[in-house]
Amino acid sequence: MQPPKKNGVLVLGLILLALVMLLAVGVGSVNMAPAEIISIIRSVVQGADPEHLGGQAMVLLGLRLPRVILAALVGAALAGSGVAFQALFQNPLADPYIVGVSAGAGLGATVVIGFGLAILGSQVLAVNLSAFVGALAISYLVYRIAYQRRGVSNLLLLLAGMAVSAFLSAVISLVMVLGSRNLAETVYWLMGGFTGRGWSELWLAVPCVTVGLAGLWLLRRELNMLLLPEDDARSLGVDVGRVKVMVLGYASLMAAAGVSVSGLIGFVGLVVPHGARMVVGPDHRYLIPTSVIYGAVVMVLADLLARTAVAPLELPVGAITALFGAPFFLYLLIKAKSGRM
Amino acid sequence: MRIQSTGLSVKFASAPILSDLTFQIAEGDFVGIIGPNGSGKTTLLRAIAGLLEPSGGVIQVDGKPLASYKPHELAALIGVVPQKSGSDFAFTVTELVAMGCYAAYKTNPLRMKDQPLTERIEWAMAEMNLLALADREVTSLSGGEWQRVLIARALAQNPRALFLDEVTTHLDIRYKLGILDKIRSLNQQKGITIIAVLHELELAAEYCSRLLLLHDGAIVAYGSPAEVLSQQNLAEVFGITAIGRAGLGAHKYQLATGSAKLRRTRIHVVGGGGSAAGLLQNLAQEGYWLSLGAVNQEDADWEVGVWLGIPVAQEIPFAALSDQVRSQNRRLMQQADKIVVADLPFGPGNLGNLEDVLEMAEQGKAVFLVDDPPIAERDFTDGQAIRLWQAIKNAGAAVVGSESELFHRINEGE
Repeated sequence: MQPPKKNGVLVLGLILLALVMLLAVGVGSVNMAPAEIISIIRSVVQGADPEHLGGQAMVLLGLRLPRVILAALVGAALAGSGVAFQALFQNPLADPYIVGVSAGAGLGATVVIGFGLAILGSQVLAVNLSAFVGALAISYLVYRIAYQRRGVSNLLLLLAGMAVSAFLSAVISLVMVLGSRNLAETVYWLMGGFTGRGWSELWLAVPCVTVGLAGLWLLRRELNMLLLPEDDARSLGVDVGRVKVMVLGYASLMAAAGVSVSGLIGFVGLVVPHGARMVVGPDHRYLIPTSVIYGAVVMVLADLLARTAVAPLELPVGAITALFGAPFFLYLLIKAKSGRM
Repeated sequence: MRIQSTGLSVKFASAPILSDLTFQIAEGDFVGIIGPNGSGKTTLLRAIAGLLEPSGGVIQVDGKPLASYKPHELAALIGVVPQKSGSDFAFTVTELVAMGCYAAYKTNPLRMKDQPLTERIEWAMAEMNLLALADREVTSLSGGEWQRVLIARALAQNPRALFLDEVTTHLDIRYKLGILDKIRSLNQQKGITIIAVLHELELAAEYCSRLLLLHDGAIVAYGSPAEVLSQQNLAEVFGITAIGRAGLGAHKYQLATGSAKLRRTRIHVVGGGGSAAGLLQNLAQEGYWLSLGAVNQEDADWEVGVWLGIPVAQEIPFAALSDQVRSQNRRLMQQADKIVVADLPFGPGNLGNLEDVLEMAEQGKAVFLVDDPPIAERDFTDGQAIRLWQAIKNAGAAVVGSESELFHRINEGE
C-alpha cells in the first residue's frame, strides 16, 4: 500500500473515532442528538458553569463523556501496548493479555484493592502503581522464558503466557479470598469494564498513556528494526538492549494504565494491531497511529455494546472483546500453522 | 578503515571458537576469510563487526578499541551483510533498504528527510538491481533476492567497510560474479575496505587481494592468494590438491578436487624457460608435493611455481645463479624424495643447477632426467652441461624419453 493510502486509512480512522464517540456519548438511558451534545460542550468550553446547564449536561459531562474518553484511551493504550509487545517479541501473537502482562497488572491491582491499600491517600494511584510493577515484572519474566538464541519462539511464548496467567489468576483468587474486605469490588473490577469509571480514573490514565505512546512513537524506527534478526538490528546501529528495555517499560506502562482503570480486557491489543498490520504493513510509522486510533474506535464500540445490548443491565466489556477477539485469535493460529503470518 | 586484532579469542560456553588471532587489515584491502566449515570464519566476522563479545584480546578500528564505539557510530563505518536473515514481517524492499540509513539519522535526526539519504537508498537499490522489486514484500523474496536486498541495505549505510558473510551462497552463478564484480568496483573506486567470508576458493583467489586462512579457530596463513593457497596449506587444511592455471589470464585459478589423491612424496623440479610448466601442473594434479628451482623471476616456469604456491628457489631476472640461491635450491632438493630435471636448455647462468643435481645424485637421491629433446641440443656451454649430465646418469639417475614415461617411473616406487 502506498503512503498516501496509508494516510487515508489514518484520516478515515480519526473520522470514525469522532463519529463513534459522538454516538456513544449520545446513546443510553437518555438519548441525546449530536447537535445537543456539541452545543453543551461548546457552552462549557466557553466558560458556562455545568451546574446550570440542566440534567442532560450532568449526564453528559459527569458520566458519559469521561467514560467514553476513558474507553478510547484504554483502547488506544492496549492496542499501542500490543504493537510494542509484538515488536519486542518479534512475534505477531504477542499482546499484553496473551503474554500474561495483563494478569500481572491485575495481580498488582488486586492486591491493592483486596487489602484496601492506598498511596498518598489515593487508592486509584496505588492501584495504578502496583499494576505497573506487576506488568513490568511479568513481561520481563515471560520474555526471559520465551527468548532463545534465535529469537522468541511462538510455542514458548504462548505456553509461558498461559502458565503465568494461570498461576497469577490463582494468586488473584487467593488474594481476593484472603482480603475479603472488597470481594465484590475486586470481582467486578476483574471482569473488565468502564461501569462507574469517570474523571478520576481518566486523569490518572491520561499521563501514563501519553508518555507511553509518545515514547513508542519516538522509537518507531527502532521498533521496525526489532523485527529483524538481532544481529541485523545491532549492525545497523540500534542499541538493541537499551531499546528493548525502553519498549518494555512503555508497553508495560500502557498495559498497566489500561488494566488498572478498566480491569482485564483481552484481545484488543492482539486483534487491532494485527488488523492494522494487514492494512498498512509492519512499518511502525503507520502501524502505531493506525493501531492506536482503531483501538480507540473498537473499545468505544465495545463499551457502547456492553452498556446498551441488554440495557439496563451492563455486560463486562472484557466479555464483549473476548467474544469477538478469541475467534479471530484462533483464526490467526490456524493461519500461522499453514506457514504465513 | 583499518582493523587491528591483537590476541583475539572467542569462546562459546567455554568451548574455544577462535584462539589468539593477531592480524591487521589495511584501509582499502579486499580480504577473504577462508577455511573449512566450522573453522570460525563467521565468528571472526561477527567479532570484528562488534556483534559478539570476545573472551580475550583487543580489536581496534581506526586505532580506537571496538568496544568504545556506540552502535550507531560503528554502523556508520561498517556495513554487515549477514549470511542468514529474514523477517516474518512484510516490509517492502524499499523499507528494508532504508533501514540502512538508521545510523545517519541517529547521528543527525534532522537529516532524515534529506535528499541525499533518499538518493543513497535509490543508489543502493540500483547497484543491486532492486528498483523493479521496490514495492515487493520481503516475505515473498527468494534467497538470492534477499541477499541482494541485504547488500543494498549495507550500501545504504554508506560504510567505509563492508563485511560480507558468504554472500554468494544463495546466488546463481550469473549474479554471483556480477555481485563480486560490483563489490570489487566499490573496493577499487570508492576505496571501501572489504572483508568477505568466502566458501569458494576459486572466487576468493580471483577477487581478494589478501586471504586469511582459518583452521580450527587459528590463522594458518594470511597473505596474497598465491601465498595462502599454497599446495601445502590446501593439503593440510582442506585435504585437496590445487593446480593454478598460469597463462590462462591474470588471475584464473582452479582447484582439482575430489578425484585427485594426496600423496606424501615430495618432488623437486629443476626447470626454466617454460620447459617445466606443463610438468609442474600435471605433477600437482597428481597430488605430489612440489618445489622448483633454481629459476629466474618472471620466467614462465617461475610464474607457474608462484601460482601453485610451491617453494621456489629464485634468482633475479636474467642473472646467473648466485651461491645463495644455489644453496637454497640444494636445501629444497635435500627435502625432496625425488628430483626431476626437465628438458631445459643450459647456459653458463644456470649450469649450477646440474652441478647441484650431481651432488644430490652422488648422495643417492633418486633423480630423473627428461631427455626430450636430447641434452646435446640443449647445451649452450661448450659441452660442460653434457659432461655433467653424463656424470649424473653415471651416479644412478634414470633417463626418461617422455613425460608419460616419467610418470610411469615415478609411480613405480609409490
